[in-house]
Amino acid sequence: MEILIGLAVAILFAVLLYNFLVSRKNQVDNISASVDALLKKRYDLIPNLVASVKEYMEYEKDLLEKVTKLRSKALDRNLDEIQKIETDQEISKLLGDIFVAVENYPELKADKNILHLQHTLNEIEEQISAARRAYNQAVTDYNNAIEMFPTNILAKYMGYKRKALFQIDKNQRKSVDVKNLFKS
Amino acid sequence: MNSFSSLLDIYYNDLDKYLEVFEERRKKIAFRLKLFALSIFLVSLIFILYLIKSNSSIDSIVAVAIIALSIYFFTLRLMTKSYKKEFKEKIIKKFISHVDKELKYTPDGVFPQSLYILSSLFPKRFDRYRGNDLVVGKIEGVSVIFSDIHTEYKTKDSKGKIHWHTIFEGLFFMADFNKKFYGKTLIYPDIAQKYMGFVGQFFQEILKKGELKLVKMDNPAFEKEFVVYSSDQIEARYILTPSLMEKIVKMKRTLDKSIYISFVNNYIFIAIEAIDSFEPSIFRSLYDITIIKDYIKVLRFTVGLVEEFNLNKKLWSRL
Repeated sequence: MEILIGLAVAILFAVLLYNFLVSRKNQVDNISASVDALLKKRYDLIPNLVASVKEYMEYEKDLLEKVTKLRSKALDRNLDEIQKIETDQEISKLLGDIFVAVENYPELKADKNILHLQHTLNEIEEQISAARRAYNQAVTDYNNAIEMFPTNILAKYMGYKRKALFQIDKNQRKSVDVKNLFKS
Repeated sequence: MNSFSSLLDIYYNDLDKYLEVFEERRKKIAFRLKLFALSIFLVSLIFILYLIKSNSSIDSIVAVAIIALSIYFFTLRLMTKSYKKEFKEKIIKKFISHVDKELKYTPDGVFPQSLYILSSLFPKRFDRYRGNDLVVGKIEGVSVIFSDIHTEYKTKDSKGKIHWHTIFEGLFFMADFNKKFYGKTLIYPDIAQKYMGFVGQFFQEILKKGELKLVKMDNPAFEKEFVVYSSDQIEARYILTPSLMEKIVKMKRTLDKSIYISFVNNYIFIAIEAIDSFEPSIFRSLYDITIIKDYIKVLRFTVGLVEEFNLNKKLWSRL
């Protein structure tokens, strides 16, 4: 009898741990999906931006081509997490460069459409950075769970592996900060 | 926002002619009160001495002391009531309109109950809702409203006696928030984690606030002082940027009071415990700098919130 009770408790315990691990993993997946959605939202604005500035920006054709190319690469579904992050960081930087270049064209600087795009991109940037922070927290919780006793034993059997955190590079984030760009 | 010294100037220079009148009045009242206190003291002393001499029980002596004290406090209230009211009407009203023309001060006004409920900060049902010193208006184009409030609920003990318990007492502030959001985010003082560390955090996670979930923030100082619950993990971080978290921690450390913050319906609500905004003291000179400092502190703080939290810088989505 005692053995049966002990067994039942052990099974119950294992089920709870299992569900806990799954919930941690799903939380990461959930937020990862939100990050993707936000990134896509940003990428969708790129053609619009390129179209608006193309006529004026004779000397920055390279820059515009590069960002367009990177955009198609970023939308490729076959990218893994690391590649996704890298592409995104490159795009962030290029977008920053484009807005720095906009400074040299008074017509562009005063254009309502461009201003709107800048503001929207800035807004999305804030949302992306919030989503990244949420992602990092979810990954930290997940990583803790698969490394800490006793969940680590179960995680091993379930084949759960550590996930990478987003590196939040402050300089790159700043490069699209519209307020700073217009301060001069 | 006016600087501290310019606010001091307003108080001492622009309001000087009113201050003089009120200071005279205050001195008179204080003198009469002291005289009254002295006579009450003497009368009760004689009474008590008589009681001791006639070997009365200790109970009756205590009773005399209690009666004397109650008479004193009752008179204090009675004698200062109209003075306080007029002081608020004349001095504080002018002072606040000097700070920002679009601010309107109503001494008897109270923060609206419906907004208190909307804030979701104190879901406990209240039986009594009181308050005063309401300020409504715009600071740099941002709508704000704040006042002192005191909410209580009552219980009955086995003898049928009613007891009142405070839910919240202090300053309640509300303003438009500069970012658009859809969910609900609440920030509470973190008692569990501060004193119980990791174990406390574990319990926070279990004790969810209704539909809201615990949000662990990435600022250790903030995490130590506060606990955040939200309907949306990403939105909570969208609202609570690293810089806003730093500002909230700074505010907490300067004030050293319990602070509750919520973000609901595109508003920010801030409740600060144990702040009584504009109560004049009868026994201290109106020229006493520490008194006016307290007024300025409250005003600068509430008005400064708009600037400090960048509420005046609207993001594109809210234009």
